[in-house]
Amino acid sequence: MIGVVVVSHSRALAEAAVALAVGLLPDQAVSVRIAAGLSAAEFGTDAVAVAEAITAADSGDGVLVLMDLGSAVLSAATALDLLESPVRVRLSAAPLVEGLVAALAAAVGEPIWRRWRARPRAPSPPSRPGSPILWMPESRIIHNHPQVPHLWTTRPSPRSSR
Amino acid sequence: MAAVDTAAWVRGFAALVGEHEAELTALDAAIGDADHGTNMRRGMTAVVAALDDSQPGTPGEVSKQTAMALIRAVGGASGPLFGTFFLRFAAAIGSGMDIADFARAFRAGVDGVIARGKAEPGDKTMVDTLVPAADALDTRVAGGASTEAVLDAAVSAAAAGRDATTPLVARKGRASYLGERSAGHQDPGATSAALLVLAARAAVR
Repeated sequence: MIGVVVVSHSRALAEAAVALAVGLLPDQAVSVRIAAGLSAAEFGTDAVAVAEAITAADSGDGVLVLMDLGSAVLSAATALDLLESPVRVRLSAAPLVEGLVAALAAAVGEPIWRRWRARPRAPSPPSRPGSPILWMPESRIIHNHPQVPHLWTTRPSPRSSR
Repeated sequence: MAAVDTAAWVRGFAALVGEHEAELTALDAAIGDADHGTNMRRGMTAVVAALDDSQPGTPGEVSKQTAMALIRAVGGASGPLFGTFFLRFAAAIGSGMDIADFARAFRAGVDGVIARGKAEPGDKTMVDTLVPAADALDTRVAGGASTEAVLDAAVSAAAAGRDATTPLVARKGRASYLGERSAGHQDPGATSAALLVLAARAAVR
């Protein structure tokens, strides 16, 4: 099963988002790790913490990373340079909460698109059932802001000795 | 032969960031989220503490350690961007000492920033400072100028690049959300990047 990492500037925001998603989908058992805030109280993201969370969340099927803001994307992309061993990673362009719920639902096979069929932004079913499911709702582009890159990496990089 | 002392460069950058913290934050308050000075000071304080703690030897080790401290401590976009600069600088410089090594490593760092942030010259970012500085380094090194003259040219090019961000409309980063309203303000990242070049000039030994 895939792992999920939530990268946010705010630890409280990340914890609340995870609690919401898990509350909506109590039967799933996805490994969700949080890399959020410089501390419990300080806003910010830390690429080293993201790399550690990716490693911890991976059980061999790959990891989906969800982010809240642009600089979280930069930290997550930097984290890929810091991975000690190869991990299949995707940075998702999905909105944080919706992407998290969709990822957990997809991982557990919950037909969430049926439940939410009446909603205007309802997701559609994944195209490759059976494989690690990494389908995500389309993100919307804000102010012509470039979309978050989707990328896979299997390239390990030397990790610095700290 | 004079060269840039990497540890002195990093420490000098930390001192300049400390001196200009309020200015950097004020610039960021105009078009960003008013934390650039605070974030950079926190990051560079961590960098100096790590240098005091471990005393790395080669330029590569100094800049690698600097990168990791920035990535961990800055918190905002400047952490992964300046961190990536120093990561790539470290990989390119190794134990190289002369100004040609410095210029080549600086270019590698700038290329890393561009790859990471996807900004181009004219987007009103630190790239508007770093690319002209790297160009000046390359040109003067190729022309056989002295280390001091090479860095003087880089400082001038960086300052001109920084100043040229004022009329631009931001196309990357938080300032881009403001659209046309971002014009008329000097970019904070371009300003701190100019301090990085200034610190290199002051670290010639």
